[in-house]
Amino acid sequence: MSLVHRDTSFSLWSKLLFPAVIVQLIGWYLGLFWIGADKDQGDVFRIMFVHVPVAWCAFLWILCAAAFAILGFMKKSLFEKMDQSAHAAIDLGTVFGALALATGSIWGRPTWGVWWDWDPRLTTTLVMFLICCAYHVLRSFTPDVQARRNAGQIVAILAAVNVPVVYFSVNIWRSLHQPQTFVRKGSSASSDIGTVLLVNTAAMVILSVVLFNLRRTAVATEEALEAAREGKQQI
Amino acid sequence: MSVAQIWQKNCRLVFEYSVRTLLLRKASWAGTLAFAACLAILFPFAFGTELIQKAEIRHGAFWAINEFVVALSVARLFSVESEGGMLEYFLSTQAHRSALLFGKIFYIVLYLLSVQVPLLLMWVVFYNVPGSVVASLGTRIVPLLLLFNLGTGTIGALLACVTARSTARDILMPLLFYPLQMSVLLAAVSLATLSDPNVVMLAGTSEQSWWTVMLGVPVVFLALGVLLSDVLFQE
Repeated sequence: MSLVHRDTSFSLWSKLLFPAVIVQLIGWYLGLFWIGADKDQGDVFRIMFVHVPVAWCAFLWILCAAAFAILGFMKKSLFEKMDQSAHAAIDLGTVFGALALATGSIWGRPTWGVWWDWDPRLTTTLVMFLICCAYHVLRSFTPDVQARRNAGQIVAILAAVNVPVVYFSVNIWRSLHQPQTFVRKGSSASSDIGTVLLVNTAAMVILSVVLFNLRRTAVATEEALEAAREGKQQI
Repeated sequence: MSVAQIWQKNCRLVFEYSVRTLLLRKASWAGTLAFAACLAILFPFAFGTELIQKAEIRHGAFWAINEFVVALSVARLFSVESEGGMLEYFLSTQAHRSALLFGKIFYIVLYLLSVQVPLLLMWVVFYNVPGSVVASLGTRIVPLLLLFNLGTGTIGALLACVTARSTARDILMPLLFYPLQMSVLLAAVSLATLSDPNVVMLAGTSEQSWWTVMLGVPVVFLALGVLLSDVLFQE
């Protein structure tokens, strides 16, 4: 008997990988060649078509992790599955958070003249990323499975508390980072930029959904292996 | 007795028990104060005795010392109970878990305040704080300290429970605690600096926004504490 059952939902979601890559390639083509250079920033602004989607994906998956954790606490029968989902979602939140920080820093150097500034948006994003890192450390240092699941789910909820703080930080505090460009009324951004950004965001979200399912299956497999090893040791 | 009265009684019992334990183990309190004094001496050497006279550095140093004191204190929040086997006794009683949590939070707020009063005097003396600064801080220092203690104490209490079953608590506690409480520290430093007559302008935002942060953090984390109290305290 195989240790891990074949996950049919994974096979289903993995089919999305191909369209996600196609949409992403179209998005990058539009961002690199279709849109003209910005009159103030030049070509540097094109990194926004990566930076904004990855930042949104980081928010999305950290919020999803909290939602999974809450669902797990509410419905005990789903607790294990929801914990695995929250774990995978935090993994994605960490990766996308790191990418958002890195791409933001690359953009900041030619635009602001510094790689890093203690700006509210940057600082709160770093805090969000650090909480995600702490989640992984917590899981690896908690040997008891049940305690690990409980602690992990609580930290996933705590991490989500920070997401609105990051999002509204540019409005609450005086910030070097520009305020929300596309949400504001009377936005100065052109509709072309908005369209390209939308395509890139959609591609990144679809890609992240595929990655999430991949990672969730991996987490479930790791846990099954761990349980099997523990069972073997007990025998 | 109504449920609210029972809850209140349980909360008061935990608080009284913690205070009595503290009175029996005065060395713990004295040790924390000595640790704060060491930090108060350390900062002038770290920043230079000239620079420490600057208003912004002076206020920052005071709150940074408080920060380390809180981190040390919350890490030991349940240590007496777990060493003496009282934690299992608490958990085996019918007391509502949120009453245990609130009792401990009220205790840590009071404990921190008892360390901060002599620390404040040390800060005024060691850092040559002018009388005008002390006078301007006079009206706001008590609410600031109380809100700071409530915010950091609540976060610390939640994390002390989360990391209770982890093997590397000494790594995990600061790793989770510092990122989560950063907004409280930032708000406390900003509000203290804003009251300083020697500071012309502080980059950032209005005083009201910082007070909102100071009030909002305890409210959010206390609410989370109530909702998650059954999961936080598990035998």
